[in-house]
Amino acid sequence: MLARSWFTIAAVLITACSRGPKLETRTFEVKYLGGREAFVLLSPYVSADHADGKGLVSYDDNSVRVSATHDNLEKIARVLASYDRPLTVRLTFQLIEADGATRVDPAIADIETTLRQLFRFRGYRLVGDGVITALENSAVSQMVGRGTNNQVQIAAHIERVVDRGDSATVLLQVSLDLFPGTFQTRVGVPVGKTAVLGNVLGGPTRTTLILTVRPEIVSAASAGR
Amino acid sequence: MTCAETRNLMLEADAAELTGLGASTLAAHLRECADCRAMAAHLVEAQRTLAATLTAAAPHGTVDSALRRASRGGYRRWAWRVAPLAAAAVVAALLVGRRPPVDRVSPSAYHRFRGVIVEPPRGRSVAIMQADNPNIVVIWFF
Repeated sequence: MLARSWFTIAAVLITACSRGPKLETRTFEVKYLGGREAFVLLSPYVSADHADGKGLVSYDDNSVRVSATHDNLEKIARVLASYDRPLTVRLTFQLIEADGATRVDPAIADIETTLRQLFRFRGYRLVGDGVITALENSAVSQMVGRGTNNQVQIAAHIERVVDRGDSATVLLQVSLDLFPGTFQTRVGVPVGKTAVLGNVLGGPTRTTLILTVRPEIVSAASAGR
Repeated sequence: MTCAETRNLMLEADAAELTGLGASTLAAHLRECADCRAMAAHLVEAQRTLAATLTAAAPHGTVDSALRRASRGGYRRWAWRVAPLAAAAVVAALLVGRRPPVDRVSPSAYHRFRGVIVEPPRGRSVAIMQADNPNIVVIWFF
């Protein structure tokens, strides 16, 4: 009698274990988040759902594949939708002419201190500055400069923000139309840092120009989306 | 020492060591490994190119004179930085030649250095210099 009871209990347990939660597998394409970022974001949801360890999440560059219960997959879809959105990026530019002045320009004091530590131009002059705000995967341009004969067009294509969070980096293409001459490069600049892009030659005077760019992430509301 | 370890050390090595001079493990490896020796030759050449560029951009002196002053201590930190960073830049330039068209480059294919990612204009190399100010990074094309 006792042996039969133990057998019955074991059979129930085995049946329960073998059924477990019903899992579904879904692949989520991500557009703005990287696959790895989505993986990091979603991993806690998957592991929390399955104490038996059957939940799975994997990723490649542009997608994340999740095995979880139907309810949890729905929750994951909502989480992804709320995070996989374009960020709004503000770029602050300064165009500086090397050998353009002998006095310190207070508008570029921090940059000038650094440049003087590294290079031996006689001085630096702010030619123009500008602020551009745009979404990821969009392009904007702005004319900067003083006077009609000293205008430069700065264009930026903000490709994407990688490693969102404290170590976010903005990937962008920057181009200068110097009338005559053009300059174009691709850089990834950590948010909040200033990249000083040097030795840009061109313009009517063929002087050495230096472009600084500082990216910041701004909220969607403040960007006026 | 493996080739990967060697190439990592090369970014911080001075020109003499890169030519295989001295008793260091890096120099010893370079004397034996033709591939790494070729890479080292590119780095030395890049340092020379950057030095020439900086000389042209230095109306009050030359890089050589700056380096002499550096050896006496005044600009030591500046001089120490430029050489290895130029070397790092050339590694980036070497990678550029193997990349697919620009619009298909994935972020992982960029050259990274201290959080900065750079793809220089076609035909130009780049030196990345970390300023004393931690919030400013100088990216100098040459």
